[in-house]
Amino acid sequence: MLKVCRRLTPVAAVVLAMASPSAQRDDTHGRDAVPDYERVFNQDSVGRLEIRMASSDWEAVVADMDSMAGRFGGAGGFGMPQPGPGGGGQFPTPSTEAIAACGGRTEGDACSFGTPAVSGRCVQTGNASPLTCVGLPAGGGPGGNPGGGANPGGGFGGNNGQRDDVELLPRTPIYVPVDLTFDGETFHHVGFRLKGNSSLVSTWQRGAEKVPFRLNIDALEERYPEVVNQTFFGFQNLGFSNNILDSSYLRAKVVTDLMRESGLPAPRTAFMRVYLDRGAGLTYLGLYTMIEIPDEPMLDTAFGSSAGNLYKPHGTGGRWTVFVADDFPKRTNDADQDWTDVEDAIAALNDPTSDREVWRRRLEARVDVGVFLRWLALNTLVGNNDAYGGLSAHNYYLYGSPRHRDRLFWIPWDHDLAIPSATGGLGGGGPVGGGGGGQTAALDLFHTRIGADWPLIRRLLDDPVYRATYRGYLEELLNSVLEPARVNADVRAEYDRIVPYVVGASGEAPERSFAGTAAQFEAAAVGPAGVAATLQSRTTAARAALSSTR
Amino acid sequence: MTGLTSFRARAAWPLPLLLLLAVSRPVAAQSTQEESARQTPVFEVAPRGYVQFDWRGYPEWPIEPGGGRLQFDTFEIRRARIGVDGRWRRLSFEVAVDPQDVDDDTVLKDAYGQFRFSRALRLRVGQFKLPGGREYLTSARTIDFVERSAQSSSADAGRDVGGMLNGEIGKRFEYQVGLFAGDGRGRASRAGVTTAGRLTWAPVKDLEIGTSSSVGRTSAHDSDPANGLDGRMPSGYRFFDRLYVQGRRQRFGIDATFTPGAWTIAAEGLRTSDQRLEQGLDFEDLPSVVATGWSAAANHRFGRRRGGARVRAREIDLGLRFDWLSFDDSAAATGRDSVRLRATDVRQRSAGTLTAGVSWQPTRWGRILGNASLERYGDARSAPEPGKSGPYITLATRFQIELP
Repeated sequence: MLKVCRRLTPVAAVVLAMASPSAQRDDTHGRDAVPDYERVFNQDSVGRLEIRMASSDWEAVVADMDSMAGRFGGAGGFGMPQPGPGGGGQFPTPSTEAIAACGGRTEGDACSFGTPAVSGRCVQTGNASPLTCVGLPAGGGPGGNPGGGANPGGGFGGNNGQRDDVELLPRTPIYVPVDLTFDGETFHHVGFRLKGNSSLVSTWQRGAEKVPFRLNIDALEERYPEVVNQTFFGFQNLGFSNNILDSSYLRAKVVTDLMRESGLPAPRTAFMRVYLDRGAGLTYLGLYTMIEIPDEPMLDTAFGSSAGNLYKPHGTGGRWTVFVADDFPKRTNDADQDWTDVEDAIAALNDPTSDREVWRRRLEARVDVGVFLRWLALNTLVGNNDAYGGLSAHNYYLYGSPRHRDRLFWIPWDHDLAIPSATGGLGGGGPVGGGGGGQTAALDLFHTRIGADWPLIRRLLDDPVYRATYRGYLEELLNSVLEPARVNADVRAEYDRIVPYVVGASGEAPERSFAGTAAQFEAAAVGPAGVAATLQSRTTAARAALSSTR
Repeated sequence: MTGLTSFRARAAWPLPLLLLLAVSRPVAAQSTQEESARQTPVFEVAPRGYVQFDWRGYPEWPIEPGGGRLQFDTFEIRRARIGVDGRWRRLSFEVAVDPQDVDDDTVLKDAYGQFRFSRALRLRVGQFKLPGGREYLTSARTIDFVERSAQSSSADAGRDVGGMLNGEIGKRFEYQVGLFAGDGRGRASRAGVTTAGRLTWAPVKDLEIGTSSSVGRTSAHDSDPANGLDGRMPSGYRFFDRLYVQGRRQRFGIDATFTPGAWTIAAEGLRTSDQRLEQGLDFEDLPSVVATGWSAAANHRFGRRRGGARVRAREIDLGLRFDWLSFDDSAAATGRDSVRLRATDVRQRSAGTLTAGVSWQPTRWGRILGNASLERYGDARSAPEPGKSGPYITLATRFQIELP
């Protein structure tokens, strides 16, 4: 025994010394951290996020934006109309010329209006508002879609997976390093940049410090090698919406939650109080809606694997009439240069339907049709026009799930303009919401006004089997997640949760707030024409429309 | 191995060592008693073990070492193998564990017993390496380079549970043939029941020629990760992801070794094909995916004395190896090749590595290896830096401590 031990001891001692668990592992910051949804996306309380940034970095952010969009607070400096009364009295009022310039176009299309002509892009600037031509100094980002959405070859400046979709700005705002503190943990050198298009432009124009932003936790790892592969409790990317276009602050969260509750692969959301220190102490910026950016944690959770292709479509290709590779920028596997899944799916969708069974079988092998129809049903019921079939061909992701034979799944995105209400905006709206502008009497539940330029809707709803499935989803949703008492309770609960952080002593400073007065905020959320009431009236109208439609 | 599993494995691995220490006592005592009683030991047991400490450098690689794509970290304990082997009459056995080795996602490496009926017939039962290529069957303790060549580590079989007959036929032939529960226990690519065999022939002095083959069946499940082979280079970089495969998996390999004097010249080729039955989007059969690899290596031992006493410290091995590995489907190119896990036309991806190595073992318990490698990738989109096919330089140093 002694001899055996003597032979083993040197090896054992060295190995024991070297094989101790690595100090690099970290369950909150490390790349192997399990996404902590309960902690980050806590639904029972409103979290507090502190951001600390050097004043010089904030100045760099301002200089960068000034160079693209004009002076901070320079209202109208890039063609935007002046703020005027709207929901909560906060939304800019577009001119009739600017609205007319976007007639028949979709979001992101190039446009011009006025004399002398101002060039810009069509953008939805408020809840339930029509598309408005928003002018920019350089006419917006490169590579526009000059002939409108139906023009082939349109795009938004090529395949740049990091850009926002409707390129009002000529380039992506810069990243600057910030330190984050959340729930007792601090994260250093996190990448912070402004994000958004109409929301960012509107905020910038007004000079409101409550800017929409995005955190990319390891974006600056080359500059700060010590944060290589850093995550925020397992998350790499988080978006923070300032809700400038929604004076109730509820739409993005309530509707996205409805999507998830109805079984759709939608991102998580949570309200977050954001404090910013630019060298002079913490200031309460305001209440934000934090949104999970679809990437590894979400894909792993929803689909069991994040190894598939994730796309953020836009432009002509985003309509699915023809395949345009540039209109399907990849957010994963971007080096592979492989779009065969999308190409196959679009081809299958547009195949002849002479043998419907074969057509359906081929399509269902490539696209999860059930998920799309379920999304379409819910999106219609909540009246979200800023979506496929409405005013934009870009507010969705597609994921080719390896665990589902590479079938493409529809991931809904961006719901802050849903639930069109009188207090929320300016009326109007496109067809996908089944009638917008708070007009619920003429709900077009089956999208009879949508043509062949939105083939995912037209071709699917022209098929009797899919039409019946879609109808079934409408009925199911109306009797489940959209059941009136439940919706009212949910909206009320969310309102009660956030109201102390929006208005009142602990609320937002008026110069940063988009909610208006306490009365206006309450009216927008739970008033007779607020989110809850509007949703309820829409579901009531939908039930009536459903009973009168076969 | 997932991070959590890896952590648990690392945290738990001293346990087998302690067990080994505990059980060694009666075994050694038994051996001592028998020795004194008969003067001829009929039961022998000996501890075996080695540890490999690796340092790697990836100058100008754009990806982080130690992640999923680039497997090896800049410093790591590559292997920590510990076990025993022994003999009792005609029965021999071996047990070895290794919580560090990432080649198989299982801590237990070897656990088998072998009964010797005759020189020509031995029966081995338990978990051990399937018959395969020469380099794959060579212990990681004695391989000439820091890592095995790409085809050996990516496309050859692994260890599994089964039974095998082996022996020598005359003086020139050796055989192994067995039936196994799979072709790599713990591997994501594991096939089902697999038969495997190997035949070696020594036609003349210093020359040995071998051929090996295995056949198994794979089964794909939509809800599980892909189950095909992945392609990794000796640097640890994964350039080919697993596909979904179903049906027959077939390997065929051939190798040759020529050892005149201080030289060792070896060459090896391996072809592995995986059927993809019902793996199309419309459940149609897809063309098989084929991995083809080969390697050629030359080593020379300097400082070797003829006749006189061996002086280890004066001996040093220098070697050069080129290895190449390619994945493609068996059908003709369609112009719509793809990297998707159920692609009909699999995009061909290949990579080659030129490795120069030095090995020095000044004592019986210590060995130092140094390698410098250049890698180049056939499909630049799958390279470490997309668009740049190469060269990618890897520097590797290993310090190996072993039980003498």
